[in-house]
Amino acid sequence: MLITTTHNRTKKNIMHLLELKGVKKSYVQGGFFGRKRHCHVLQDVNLVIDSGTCVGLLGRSGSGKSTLSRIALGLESPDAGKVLFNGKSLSEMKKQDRLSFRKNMQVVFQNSLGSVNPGFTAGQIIAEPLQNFESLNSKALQQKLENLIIQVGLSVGDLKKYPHQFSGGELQRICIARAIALKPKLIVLDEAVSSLDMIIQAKIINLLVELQQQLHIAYLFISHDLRVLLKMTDRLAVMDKGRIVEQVDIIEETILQERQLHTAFTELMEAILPKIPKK
Amino acid sequence: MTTFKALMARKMNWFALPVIMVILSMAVLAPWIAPHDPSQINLEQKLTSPDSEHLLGTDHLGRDILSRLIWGARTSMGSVFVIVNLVMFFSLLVGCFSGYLGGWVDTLLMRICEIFLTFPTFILAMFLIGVLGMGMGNVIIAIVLTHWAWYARIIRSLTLSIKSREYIMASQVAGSSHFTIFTRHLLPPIMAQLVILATLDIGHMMLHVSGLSFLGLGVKAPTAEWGVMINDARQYIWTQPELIFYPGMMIFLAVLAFNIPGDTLRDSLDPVIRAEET
Amino acid sequence: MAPEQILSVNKLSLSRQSGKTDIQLVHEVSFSIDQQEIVGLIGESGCGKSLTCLSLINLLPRIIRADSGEIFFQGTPLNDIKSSMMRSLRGKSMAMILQNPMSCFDSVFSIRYHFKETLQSHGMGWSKNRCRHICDALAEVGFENPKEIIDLYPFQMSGGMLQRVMIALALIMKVALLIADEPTTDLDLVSQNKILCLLAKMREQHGMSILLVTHDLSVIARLADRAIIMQQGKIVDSGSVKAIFAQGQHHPYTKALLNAHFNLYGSHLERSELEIC
Repeated sequence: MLITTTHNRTKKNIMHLLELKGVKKSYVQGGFFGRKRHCHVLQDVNLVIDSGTCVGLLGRSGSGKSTLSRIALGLESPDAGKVLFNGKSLSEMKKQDRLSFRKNMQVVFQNSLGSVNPGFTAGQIIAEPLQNFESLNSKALQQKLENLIIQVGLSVGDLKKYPHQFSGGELQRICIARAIALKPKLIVLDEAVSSLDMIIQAKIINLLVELQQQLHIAYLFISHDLRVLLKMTDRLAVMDKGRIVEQVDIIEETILQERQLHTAFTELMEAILPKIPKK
Repeated sequence: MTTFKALMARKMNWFALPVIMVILSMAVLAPWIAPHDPSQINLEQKLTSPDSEHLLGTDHLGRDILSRLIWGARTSMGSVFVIVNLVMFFSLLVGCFSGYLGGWVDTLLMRICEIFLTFPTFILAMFLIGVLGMGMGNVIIAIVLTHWAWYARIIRSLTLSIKSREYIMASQVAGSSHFTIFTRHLLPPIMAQLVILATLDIGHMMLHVSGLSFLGLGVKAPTAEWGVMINDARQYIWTQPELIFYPGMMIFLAVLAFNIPGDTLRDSLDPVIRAEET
Repeated sequence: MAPEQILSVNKLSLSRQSGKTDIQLVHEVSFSIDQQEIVGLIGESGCGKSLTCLSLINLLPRIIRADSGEIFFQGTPLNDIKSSMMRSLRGKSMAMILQNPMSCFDSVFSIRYHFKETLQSHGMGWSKNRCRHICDALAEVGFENPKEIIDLYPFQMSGGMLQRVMIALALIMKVALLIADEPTTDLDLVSQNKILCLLAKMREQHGMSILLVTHDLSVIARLADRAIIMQQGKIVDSGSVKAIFAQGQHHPYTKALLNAHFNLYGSHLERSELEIC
């Protein structure tokens, strides 16, 4: 096992791109007349992502990964704790900073068909963030769209097609084009490759690596497939029952392995299926 | 235009669309195409058979039946048009707010809807007319008040189902404001569904309008309206049954003709089916 | 003694009519499954794997037509079989578990009701004894407190738990062939491992044959004896798993799949032992 673990990651005077400090989130179940039950989804989550890095978030179903991604994206506010973008807290941000945050934090979801409007063409889908933030005339917009669609490996003619005319992998490329349109600093990949077939998955992973090198984007890569995370990420955070229980640095070279890793992580390591059949 | 092509592809529409065009033309062009004044009473010429001057004959007061049918189209279609627009407006407003905002707004608005849904149309109409007096205006108010809530609930559930889709979240992340999300993603499919529901319901509303007029609660004499014409012709059912037949046939054709394209419209607005047909 | 052939498919072809043309979805697919054998069927989405499975239990959607081919189950031809006979085979001798287990259960009924319905539809009555058998089956598939599970509703259970209930249903009916259509795709690694271990147990201890459909080669590596690779409705490669995974002459699509698979196992995952459950 060529993995090291680290202890104190955060130095106080470094400004991180995104930081979650002591984030807590719970939902109330039960309505007017029933007894209300509190479902504690996240309990004291601390996570840090620096520019240009790829941080993986691993956990079993129900560990709170999706809720964490929604809070990181600013779609929901935490009940307690802070979300800091470039050192500034989301809840205390001014409008200008808020816009900058929104521009620089993008997402690619797992279900590509569900994350696009079925009545929009590929061009309209990719254009949406550009229309919200940049006032481009139609020629300039078209030029940008063409550049983006080629950058993700599709052709210009695909801009006019509707979502149901694309395969899962192609549609995911369109979602990626939408995510990189504003040249964001961080993209949350919420199980973005989990629904794809192996060969397509490999191609999309290659595309994501290429784009990271070209555009110097940070990724928060959420997945339950440890093999993909070990390949792609610089650091891996393991979630279990709403907490981040382990953070490990992934390094290629032979490194000592001393510390006992959390059972949530070892359980997942042991569950990886074999590379070749053994009989 | 794919919508038109889709409509023409279904053979039923070859019948339905011309009928709709004829009825709408009658309504719009009534002052110019009606051969006689529909209110002109001529007791010497009552209950005559069809001839060159009165193509469908005259009624019990000597009024030209054809002219009354044409002007009746204007009254019926006119009131239905007003009703449909008012219903669409109120139901869109309430349904969208309720579905999009959720929480106590949703609860309050839905409880109000439920109150309105308990009123049967005819009873409410009679009550309103008893309080406010006879007239088409009150008939329209009664029908709008009893119908908007049903549409509002449908629009609310549509809004809820679209709001929960991931592309709404994706749009939020892409920086869209609530208003932009509403106009760009929610309104188009909701309007499409609403238009189809309204089209299908035109027949139903026309029956309400005619029904209330038949009961004597709608238009005042001598205004021509198909329901009123049926009421007037009741006593002549054994001697001159055509007096009931003509307005009855018009109501039947109008309701049928408006129902048929509703289904086709829905298919033509669905992008999957639209793409398959091109 | 040669193992009994449970399933034999001979040149199965399926197509769909679109406008005036016929679109060939599955083209002359032939394979067989022996008793207590696990055969893996792998291919990308849309290659016809699920349609092939549905045609085995005669549940193809109406717009899909079976153009030609013969299917034999335990020697009985299934092609022109009476629908009543097919119904008695389905669920009793052949069972299918699907990718999204939540969609296979009716949320308004408890697990007990689902068992009752399945048993009664195959003429097996409901009694206290039956209840005990069900609890035994649920314990067999890994539930520690079967008596609690039996009264739960589907929405109160996770995907992994529901998959296990489906396998318990197959177990209690003592099916000879289990068709598993991407049973672990939606599950996390740990649940996936548990389900695959359970399927292996079904084969070892209860003699079930399994047709395992997946798009992940590691699932095949873990469980299957033989593998069949499909691309665009045709079988492009087949053989024992050892042969497929070994270096050698393979169809270009198989090579591409193997490359993508091996690529996933970076230097961090050099392991020499297989973890057996």
